[in-house]
Amino acid sequence: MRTLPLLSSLAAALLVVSVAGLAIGYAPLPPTGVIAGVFGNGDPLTVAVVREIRLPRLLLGIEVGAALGIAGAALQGLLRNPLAEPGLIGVSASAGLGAVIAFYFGFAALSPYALPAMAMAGALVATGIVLAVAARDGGSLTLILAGIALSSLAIALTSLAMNLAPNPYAVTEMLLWLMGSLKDRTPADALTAFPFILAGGGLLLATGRGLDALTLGEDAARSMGVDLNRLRLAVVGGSAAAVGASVAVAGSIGFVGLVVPHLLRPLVGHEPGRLLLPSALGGAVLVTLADLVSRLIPTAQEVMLGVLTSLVGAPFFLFLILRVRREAW
Amino acid sequence: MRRLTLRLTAACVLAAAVPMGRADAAGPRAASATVCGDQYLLALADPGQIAALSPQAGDPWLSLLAGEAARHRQVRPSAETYLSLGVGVVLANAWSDHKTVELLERFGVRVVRIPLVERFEDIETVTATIAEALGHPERGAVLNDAVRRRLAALRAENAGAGRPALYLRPGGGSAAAGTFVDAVMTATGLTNQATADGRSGWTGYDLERFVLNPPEMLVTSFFESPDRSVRRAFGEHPAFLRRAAITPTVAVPGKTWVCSGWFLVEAAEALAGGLRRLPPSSSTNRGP
Amino acid sequence: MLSASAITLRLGGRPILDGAGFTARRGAVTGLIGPNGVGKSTLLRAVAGLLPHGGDVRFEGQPLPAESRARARLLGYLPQGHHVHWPLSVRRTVALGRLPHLGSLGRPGRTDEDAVERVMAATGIAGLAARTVPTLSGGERARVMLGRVLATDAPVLLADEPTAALDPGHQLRIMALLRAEAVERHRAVVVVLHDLSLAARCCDDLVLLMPDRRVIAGDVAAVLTPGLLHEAYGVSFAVTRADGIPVVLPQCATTAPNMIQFGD
Repeated sequence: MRTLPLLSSLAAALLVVSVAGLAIGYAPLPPTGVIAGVFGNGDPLTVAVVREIRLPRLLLGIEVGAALGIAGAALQGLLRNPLAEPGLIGVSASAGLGAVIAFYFGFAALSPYALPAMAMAGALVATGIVLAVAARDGGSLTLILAGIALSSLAIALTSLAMNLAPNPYAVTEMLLWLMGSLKDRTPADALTAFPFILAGGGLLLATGRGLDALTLGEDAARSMGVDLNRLRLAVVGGSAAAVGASVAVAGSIGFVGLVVPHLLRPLVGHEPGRLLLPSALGGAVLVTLADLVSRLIPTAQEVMLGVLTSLVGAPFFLFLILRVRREAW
Repeated sequence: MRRLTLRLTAACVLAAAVPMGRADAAGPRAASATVCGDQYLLALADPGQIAALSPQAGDPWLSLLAGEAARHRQVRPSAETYLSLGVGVVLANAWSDHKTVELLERFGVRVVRIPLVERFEDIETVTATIAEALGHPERGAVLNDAVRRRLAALRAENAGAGRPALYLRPGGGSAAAGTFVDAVMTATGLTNQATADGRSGWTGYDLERFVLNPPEMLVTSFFESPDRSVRRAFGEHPAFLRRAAITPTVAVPGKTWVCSGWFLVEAAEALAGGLRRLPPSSSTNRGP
Repeated sequence: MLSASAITLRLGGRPILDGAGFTARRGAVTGLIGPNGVGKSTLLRAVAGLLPHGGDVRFEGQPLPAESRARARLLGYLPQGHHVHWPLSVRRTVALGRLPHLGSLGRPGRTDEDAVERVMAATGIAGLAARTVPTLSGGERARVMLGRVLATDAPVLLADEPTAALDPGHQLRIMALLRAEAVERHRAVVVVLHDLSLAARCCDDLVLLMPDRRVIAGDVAAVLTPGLLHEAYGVSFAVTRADGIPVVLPQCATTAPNMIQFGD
């Protein structure tokens, strides 16, 4: 599939899901009211619901989905492994650790950027470690085992941080960080995460050519003028910024970075560079769609978004492991 | 005048407790593993009887009698600790620490599992059970009488005068008929908006419907805690805050109804006190 | 002309190369031969700029450019093994060779498309253009990889064992392609080879790296002598001629001490 038709289809899908996400919510609103509400016209209560509740949630869903999608695609390209995913390799959990420390120990109260900054720092450390451990051989086993070790460590440290936090009930909120959600997020949340996700995504988009070259191995890539250190730095920094900022405002939303690039890869001829932008769009579609579903499932408490993506993603992951084992690449 | 009588009843209970405790030092050593049990121990046991309170007993946001708790040891719930302290009675939540409780019972410790009850009548039973376990059944009766009298006074006052009000916690949690929150609200004469909305039991509101259909009055609790929590997204959302700012609100301290115990009457009194301070009419709360 | 001189290189504190060097003429195929472990591939990677090293590498008398993309346009490198990490199409794989030429937006232009078409025709893989690399046979894959490096259109071509694991027919076809590139497009082609008879048949010049770090360079007849080969490989060789070209036949199993001395 050529790139432009693919991007247009994904953009169209995102538009449809976005309109649905704005139109469908907890309160029944007439579609005309919603449209007017987006532009600040009409019934003030409807405007409040649309602009203060649904729109931020939708925008944040797009941001987070795009961040996770493109970070997954870029990490897979760099590690030359379709199983690399921010959640699976411990990057999301480490971002969560940074966020939890900032949140429960009062740093987040000092500056609105303390929370994303510490989450990004956590993500950066984790991505660096994964790269140091797994970049050389590109083997799935090393990558997954390193991811398990890192995730477990990050989750244990998160739990410890919550134990030490001033709020005695912080530990009971562990799950809220491990399984992310977009419920009741504010316009400020969407605005705080946006610059980091944009910068991280931009950094990742620029790595396309290097990732393409890396398809032929590190020596061939370098012989074609690719600066591997700069490429690694860009992927690590870009993923950390995008994933860190997402986790800071929405918690961990697993498997988006695995499922989306995998579904889109055949459509871009398996080219890692061409996969980046479609993965960002596809991630945005998936997360906004999953968020819509989470609102529609009639449970007493809203189903966590991370639960939905994991319910779809985990079986998919198992299936992928079997395939990777069978196929040469 | 009213506040004076309330103070007096509370003082009566405490005064009754202390001298009688000295005369009748036979009560077993006791410990509490929960902030709910802490309030019972502090109200019903002799100070010398109290071997340990829960770690939250001194938290001024969660523990009503935090001041008194400061005089006692506060320990992390653990069978080993209680046994080493020579405890004969342990107060625990009915829904947690099952293994600790089983272990204690195997060592012959009497464990009172404090159930989550929703009606004042049932609270009286719990109070009586705990007082009996502590060796002071008469204090339970005194406390129950006092609570009953204070509630009767509140019902007679009818501070709520049938006005509808919605109970909310910072996470959007609410409570309709069949909950102790509803029992407290009803005792002050309020109409529970959640019940009127066709809900029952422990329930919750979503931001959208709250904004579209704001209540005439809010009864809030736990908003005052300084602890950061991701569960508070609802209560910290600008869409909520903007609406809450123009809605008559009575904030009831969370520590008065952290669970359902004899101290719920404090919540009811705090609520009635807040209602008295509200402007008489509230028909202007709709609007952007 | 490509000239590498006084190349020194240590890996993990161990000296691998110490003053090695060679020259490679444009329009000719230079074979880099020698026993295992003597540093042929390392030398090639050093010249390609993939390993930090001491010494001097020049092309047409000028030092190689420091900027990596300019260097990549001058010097194409085909690594050992033909692994492709994603199942790319043949056309796309060959087109990767154009990377050093692409502008900042990475959009291939007319020249790039033409270069890819030419190379695919030259290497006989035009018919495979839409296939993905993992579905190809070993011989096809070797040609695709060669096509990729040829697409760069670099005047210097360094190939590390491009004929490994191929049958004689494919080996000769790959070597013929390299020769054609050297002669027709006036490139300097350097090939690491293990098959001495193939080297004798397909190379113009040979560079023999000896275990004692000497470097013997010259035309095929000058390098492939029984004495030098015995020194290099520790086994005896019979060197005969067929159609005037040397044929190198190692003699079966000599003595154990030699095996130990020169074994891997």
